[in-house]
Amino acid sequence: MSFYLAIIGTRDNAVYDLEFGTYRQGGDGKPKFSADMKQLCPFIVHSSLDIVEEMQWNTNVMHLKVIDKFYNYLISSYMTAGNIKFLLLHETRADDVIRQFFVDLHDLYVKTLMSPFYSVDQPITSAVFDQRVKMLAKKYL
Amino acid sequence: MASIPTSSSEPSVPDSEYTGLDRSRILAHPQSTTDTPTSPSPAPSLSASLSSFLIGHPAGLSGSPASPSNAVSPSHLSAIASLVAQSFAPRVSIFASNDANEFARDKGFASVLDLFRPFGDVVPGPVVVRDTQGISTTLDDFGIRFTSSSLFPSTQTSHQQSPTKLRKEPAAPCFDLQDLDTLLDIYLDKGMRYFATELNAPPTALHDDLYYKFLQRLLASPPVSAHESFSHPVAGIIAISSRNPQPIETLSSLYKAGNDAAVPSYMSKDYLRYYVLVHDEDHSDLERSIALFERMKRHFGIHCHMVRLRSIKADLSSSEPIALLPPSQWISAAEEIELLKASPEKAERYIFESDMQNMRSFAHELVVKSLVPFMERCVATWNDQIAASRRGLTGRFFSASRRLLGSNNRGLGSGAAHGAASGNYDPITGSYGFMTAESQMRKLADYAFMLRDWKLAHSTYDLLRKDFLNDKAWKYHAGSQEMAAASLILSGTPLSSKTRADTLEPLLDSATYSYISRCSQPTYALRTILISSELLRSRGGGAADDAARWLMKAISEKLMGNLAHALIIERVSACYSIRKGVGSQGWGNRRRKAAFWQLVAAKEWVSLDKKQHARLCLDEAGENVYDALDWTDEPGQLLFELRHSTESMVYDSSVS
Repeated sequence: MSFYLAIIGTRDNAVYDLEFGTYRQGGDGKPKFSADMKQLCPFIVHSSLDIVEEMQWNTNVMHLKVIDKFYNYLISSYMTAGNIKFLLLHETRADDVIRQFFVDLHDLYVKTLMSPFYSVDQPITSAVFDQRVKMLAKKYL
Repeated sequence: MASIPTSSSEPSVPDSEYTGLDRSRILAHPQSTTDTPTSPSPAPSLSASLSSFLIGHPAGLSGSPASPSNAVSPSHLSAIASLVAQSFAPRVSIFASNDANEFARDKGFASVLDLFRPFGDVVPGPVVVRDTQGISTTLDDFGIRFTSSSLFPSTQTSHQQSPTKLRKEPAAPCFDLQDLDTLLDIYLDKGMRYFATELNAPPTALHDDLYYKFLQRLLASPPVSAHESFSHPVAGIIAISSRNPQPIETLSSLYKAGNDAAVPSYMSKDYLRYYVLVHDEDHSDLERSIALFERMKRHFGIHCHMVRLRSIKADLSSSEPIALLPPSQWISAAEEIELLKASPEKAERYIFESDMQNMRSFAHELVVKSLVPFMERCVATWNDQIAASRRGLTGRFFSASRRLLGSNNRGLGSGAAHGAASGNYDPITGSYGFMTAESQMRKLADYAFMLRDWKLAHSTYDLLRKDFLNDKAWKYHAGSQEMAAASLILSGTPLSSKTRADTLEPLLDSATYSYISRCSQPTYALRTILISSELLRSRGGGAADDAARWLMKAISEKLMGNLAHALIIERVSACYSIRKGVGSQGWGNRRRKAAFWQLVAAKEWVSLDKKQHARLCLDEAGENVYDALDWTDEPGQLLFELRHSTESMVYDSSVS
């Protein structure tokens, strides 16, 4: 199974994105998207923002669960209080695990945000952040 | 039910558009210029005549979303609803004598059918239709479809075949996928401006035009099928010319030939007969023709008409005013390919101005005085005799007891051999005989649909689908669900998300499932999806989302050819873009989704080597959404790559 994670800023800008695969069921953590899908991923996730923006005013929870799908792929979403969207493209429905993943990711994001050298909407390039997100992915997904 | 006043005054249709040879004016809308006649037959009721003045033509091709809360009355349907309604127009088959066909050949047409056909597209002047409640509606886009009489007796041979062999014969598809793709290829090569209805139409309107054209071809010529009666004739025209030496005998023999023709058991021969005398203005004596026409009326009753036509061929050198006769808008894909390939001189056909007027008033008279009253009568009769008894309380008892008895029988194993509880359904041929209640109910529903009494049509289809389910008549079942869904959307009832989820969804779902898996008729499934998604789209709001989802289903089921596939992907984008959202922020809009599907479509177009079209999609997507985002145009990104590969194809609007 493959995943695509994107953190999207307040102006639809890409803050951070990552493709990864599962370590479960003998997976090696490498994404296995087809070439077409690899190209489409950012656009699929971006198009789901329409749904996120519609949903965000109907609920008071941050984890919006599965909000959209594209053929066999599902898109889960999480809104932070600062209007930053976490979107995860995945293949099977696993709301609980994904919620835990998002909550921990939120934790990481807030820590980054507290850095005096980082401002909102800036792309996250830190190797440490990247490393930690990969650890989270390995832990939960 | 003589609701249509009989008046001797011929409705005169203004034809200002056809004077002279100003080709650009003639080429643009041949039919839409036929506005309300200056003196139609006396108005049946004040309200109807008023509404005919107040209500203009259906909205342009922009697919204006009707607000869901507004009940849409049939006379001002959106463009797409009008297209769907017109595609299920009554079929009129033509039985012409040899001399009449010869007359048409002298005029430069292949046959009488060829000559009549363009005039059935939109009947000039308003057509007043009265539904079973006695409420009349004025339709100004009512059409009929002239068809050949030789279309249906194709089963003549199959009568001799053994029943088992008949069953294995694959049923005809609803349309030819291959032809449609070929046609689409030609369209795309011509460029989109070619089909523009307006000169400076915005790109979105261009997409609509192309797609509607495609949809029109797809819906144009469904084959005669057991499970729906749309392509069964509602009327038969028996035509002779004034050259005939034995007119009355010829008419009688044509009638007999039509009556004795071997038609499939599901098809009724009980349709309206209409007798037409074509008077040759150049060679025949008018006095004699009038005398003959009087004799015809005495012999055959009121359903007669005399058309006065010139028999010489009209061309540009003629001294009298002539007009360009465009081909029918409802020709099939194969016919259009033929036409587009032909040389322009051959494809352009002219007809005398006077002939044009006479033909128009003929079509008007046929519809207003004979066809519509006949259909109204049929609907009223069937509704009283068959459907009403089923709808009432007793009817419910009857069907319940039938179901119980049926299951009993099956339990005892007595009637299990055939598996059919009611016995009306013939599982071997997979059809109902034309005299069975089911078959007549279906006809009732179809006639009501053609007359645009959506509510009656919907309730009848709804009754029928339960019967068909009991009988396991899958194709009938799918057909009735398809039309139940379409008539539900057309009836203008508000479609809340609950109605859509509880009523519409199951209807469409099981219709497509039955068509694809049980009957292996994917073309019909595609028709179901395209019609209902397009109608849903015209409702706007959440319904447009549903429309997009249904199209995606069609895409993932791979129901169509390559080019059609890409076109439908592009259509998903149009379904999303119609949703505008509320408030200054456009809350709930789908602009990103629309742009995304444009991008997917562009990718598909590039892979099919239609780069020019791909460029158009890319430009639009970029303009609406992607240009404002910096991450989309980085090297390696899909958008960048696609833009690069279509670089040389900057869209040129002058290409034709």
